Amino acid sequence: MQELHYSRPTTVADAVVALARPDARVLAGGTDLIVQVRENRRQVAHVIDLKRIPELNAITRQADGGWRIGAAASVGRLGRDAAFAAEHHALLDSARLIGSLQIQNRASLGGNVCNAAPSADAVPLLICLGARGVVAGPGGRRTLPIVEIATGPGRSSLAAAEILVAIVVPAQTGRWAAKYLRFTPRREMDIAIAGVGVWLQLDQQSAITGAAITLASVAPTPLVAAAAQTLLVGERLSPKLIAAAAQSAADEARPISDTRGSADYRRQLVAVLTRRALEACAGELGIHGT
Amino acid sequence: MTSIREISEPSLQVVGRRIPRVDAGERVTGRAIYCADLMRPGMITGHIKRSPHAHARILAIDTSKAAALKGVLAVVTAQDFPVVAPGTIIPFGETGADAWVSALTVIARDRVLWRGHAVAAVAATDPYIAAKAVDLIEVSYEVLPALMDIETATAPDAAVMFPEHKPKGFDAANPAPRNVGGRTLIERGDTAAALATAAVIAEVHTITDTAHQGYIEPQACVAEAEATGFVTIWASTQGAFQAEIQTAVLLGLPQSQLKVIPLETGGAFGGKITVHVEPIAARLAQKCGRPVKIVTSREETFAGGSGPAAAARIAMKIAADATGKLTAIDGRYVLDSGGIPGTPTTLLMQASAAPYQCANLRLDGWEIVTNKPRTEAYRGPGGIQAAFALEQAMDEIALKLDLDPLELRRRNAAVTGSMMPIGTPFPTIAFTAIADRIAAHPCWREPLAAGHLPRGRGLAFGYWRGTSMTSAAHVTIAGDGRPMVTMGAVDISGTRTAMAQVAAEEFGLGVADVHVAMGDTKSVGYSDAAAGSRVGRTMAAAVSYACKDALDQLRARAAQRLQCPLSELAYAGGVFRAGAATISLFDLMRATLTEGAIVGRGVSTKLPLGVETAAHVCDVEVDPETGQVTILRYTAFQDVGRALNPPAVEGQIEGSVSQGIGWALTEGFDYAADGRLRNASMLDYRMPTALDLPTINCVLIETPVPDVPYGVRGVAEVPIVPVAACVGNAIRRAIGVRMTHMPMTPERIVMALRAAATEPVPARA
Repeated sequence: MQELHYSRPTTVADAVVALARPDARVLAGGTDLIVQVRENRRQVAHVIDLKRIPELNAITRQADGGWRIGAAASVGRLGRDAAFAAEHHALLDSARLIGSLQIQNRASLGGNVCNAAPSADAVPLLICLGARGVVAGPGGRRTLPIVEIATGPGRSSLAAAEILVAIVVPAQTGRWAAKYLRFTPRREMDIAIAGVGVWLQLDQQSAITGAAITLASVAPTPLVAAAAQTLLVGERLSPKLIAAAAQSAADEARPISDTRGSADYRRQLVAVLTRRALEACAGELGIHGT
Repeated sequence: MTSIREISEPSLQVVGRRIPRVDAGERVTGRAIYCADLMRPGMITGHIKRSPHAHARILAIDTSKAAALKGVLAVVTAQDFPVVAPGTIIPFGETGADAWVSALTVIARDRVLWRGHAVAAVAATDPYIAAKAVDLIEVSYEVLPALMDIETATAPDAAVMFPEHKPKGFDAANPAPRNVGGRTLIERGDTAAALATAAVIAEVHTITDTAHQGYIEPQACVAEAEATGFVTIWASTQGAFQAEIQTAVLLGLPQSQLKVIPLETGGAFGGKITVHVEPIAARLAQKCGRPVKIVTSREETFAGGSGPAAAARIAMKIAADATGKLTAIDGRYVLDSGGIPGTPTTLLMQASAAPYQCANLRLDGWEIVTNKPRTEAYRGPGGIQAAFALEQAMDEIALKLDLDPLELRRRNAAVTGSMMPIGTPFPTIAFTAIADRIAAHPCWREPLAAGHLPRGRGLAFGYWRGTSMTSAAHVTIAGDGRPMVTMGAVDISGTRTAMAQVAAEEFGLGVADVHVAMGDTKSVGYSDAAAGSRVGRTMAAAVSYACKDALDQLRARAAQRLQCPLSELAYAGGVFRAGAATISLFDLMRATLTEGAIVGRGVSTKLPLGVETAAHVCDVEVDPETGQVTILRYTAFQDVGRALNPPAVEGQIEGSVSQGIGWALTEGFDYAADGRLRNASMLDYRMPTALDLPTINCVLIETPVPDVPYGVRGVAEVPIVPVAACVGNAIRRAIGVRMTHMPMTPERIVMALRAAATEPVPARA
């Protein structure tokens, strides 16, 4: 157990100043941080609670049809936004895999991104949907793709005094569907051995105009299966195409073997989950017989 | 099956009724006091220093820096405890126990035997100082090779962990392999000849990983030493008297100077019979004069701070004639005892043969020491492993002979009077009654509907010998005539409620008129631990005897009051009656309390054997691509003798099946070659959640044990025995692959399917 200081700024500017102190960490839901501190896995001297900063808690639909999600907004609140839930049920479903209902009432999407766990359940679809992070720091603000935030297990590309302010999910156009599937040996209270997020966009003739596949728990960071994506674009969904994309994703995975599962098994799961996620998207888009 | 009932059903008013637990309110509102809740004036925190090595010689322990830290009030190592020699037998149950095992379990002396083995402990004014002090203790080790599994430990060139240990049955001409803790052989008939002439043989080789009991409350206690030298320990234990006698020997303290007070226990399942923290807390308290509380963390509990269940390897070969009649059972059992020899093998061996009549048996049991935590009991210890081998082999016989699995078992089932594996006849045993109930039940009669994924139905029988040991209770009568029971056993399973029912029944009163308390070791007579499914039956007998004793004393007083001969006095519902004259218990005690206390004594010991039998049926669905198993339906049939409180019995069955499913599918310790436990957390040691478990349907069959008050059988162990085999058989029927490594994790299922796909297809499925 460590002695620590706690502050609760009400503006982003104050939070950035507070964060400049050594061993300072931001606290949103705290569902990762508090556990890490209690288990002596992370040294923290200053805890900067972000929940009193209005911008970090706002969930707003933007003029262009995109969504801006405050980085500290809880998954529970996100789920209670009916318009968001109607449009982004797949993303919401993936976020609702995090912990239990009680945890979801604290845990934030921003925390899921910044904690940088390879197994983060809400991150693959954020990446697939092309989400960007708005980051504030001593030098002002910048935005970057969510996929660029995690750099390794527990490590992010954010500078020491930078905080994630919001996640912007761009407006989705045309016929599109998304699905995240993960596998856990236990149905709840478990961490994905492998997870696959899929996003598909079709034109009116059902040709694939956009495809995104992001894998969880099979690399040091969420992993974009670029070759599998390329295979899909411009084609029409068929069992053969889906099988090829699934195999490609499995080949692209870079899993390790540990107590949760072997690399061999994780690769097989990637193939199975990619196929099933693509089939689910196809079903949602009214493409049958895949 | 004849039901023999000592007391005919209609006369029972309270026993057998479905009543809520008397302690339910305080439990669910959080008011019940567990060790971690207890506060004592001036109390400080104890914390244990544990070994980072699986096997090492302790060269030196330097506690000076820790002792010098401000706030540290006491430090102990093995040097603070007397040496306890091997073979220091202390009373426990029918066999006794070796206090040397307890001593070595509590704190390492000269050598550490597993990673997480305690080497020292501190007491400090707050938990943070205690944790820091533990880090300041410097231990130098000479690291020895870690023996992390049975193969490594028994290799011809393996390091020998206990050179002085001489297992029975070996000599210079027939030396024991390395690191053998013990061997037991049970033989009958001519197994080799029966195997040679059999129509069909099934052979199943199983591996079971080490698993943990998974109790919610980790090891915890509070110890306080008075200036007079008297020590009091508040414990989370299955047996206050067991905790007391072990602690007394380990501290070198007369038992007149030590009292153990059992508090509420947050689960135990066999893991809280051996003491772990009590002697350490007591010694720290003696050294600093302050009460000391030790509460271990979950990680400590998993990784060396408690005793998990033994891993096992079983080679089971059974033979039958063309009609399915068993002709031989040939089992070889190798148990992984962990770091100290002494794991019993015989109950497991009996469980692996007892369900069936078979003239030829060869049961060959071995226990091996390794550098894992010393194993302890877990709910019917060895039973689930035994059935996992036997019942899957039975399923293979059924497949090979194309016989209905229930019919195969019915043809072979042990019956009253048939021979037990140890050569004595079975007392009343209900397997055929259970088989009849299964045959008539929808869970077996209704065909399994096809699904999107492969499905299968499994059946397995389970047997557990059951035990008796000894229990004591006394009953006094309050000034308003109400009985007050004090029992010597710890209540880990609703015992207070069941005993309130027994006492209410004996006195013809309501449960609310009776008070039942757990005694401490200085307030009530010796009782063995709440272990081996024994407390319900032997404490029911003790309470029954104590109530009868008290009623006899009351009867004498009532006869005097009513001025009638004893023979004319009747008693019912709290009222003595002689002709038209009556006196209630209330009036009797109001009039005679000051003439002397009524003290009814009850001791029960060596009750007639009441064997435990069960059979389970389950339907599963298997996803062959991920290996995920979904249990669609689960039905547990069990002969419970008599259910004192049916919901409590059903709770035992539901809990057993839940634990069994966990071990069957996801629970197993994952040790690295250096002894590190890779999954020492509730996250990675995957006990099932509510979403992983089906509704568990319980079918209670009541075949009372003759000559036992209320005919009670043990009910809490046998329901875990068939679970893994039942699920394994269902998986086999679903996907055609026999899973022999437990837990049958999704990954193992996928890999087994993959291996099967590359193997030549056998002639018969």
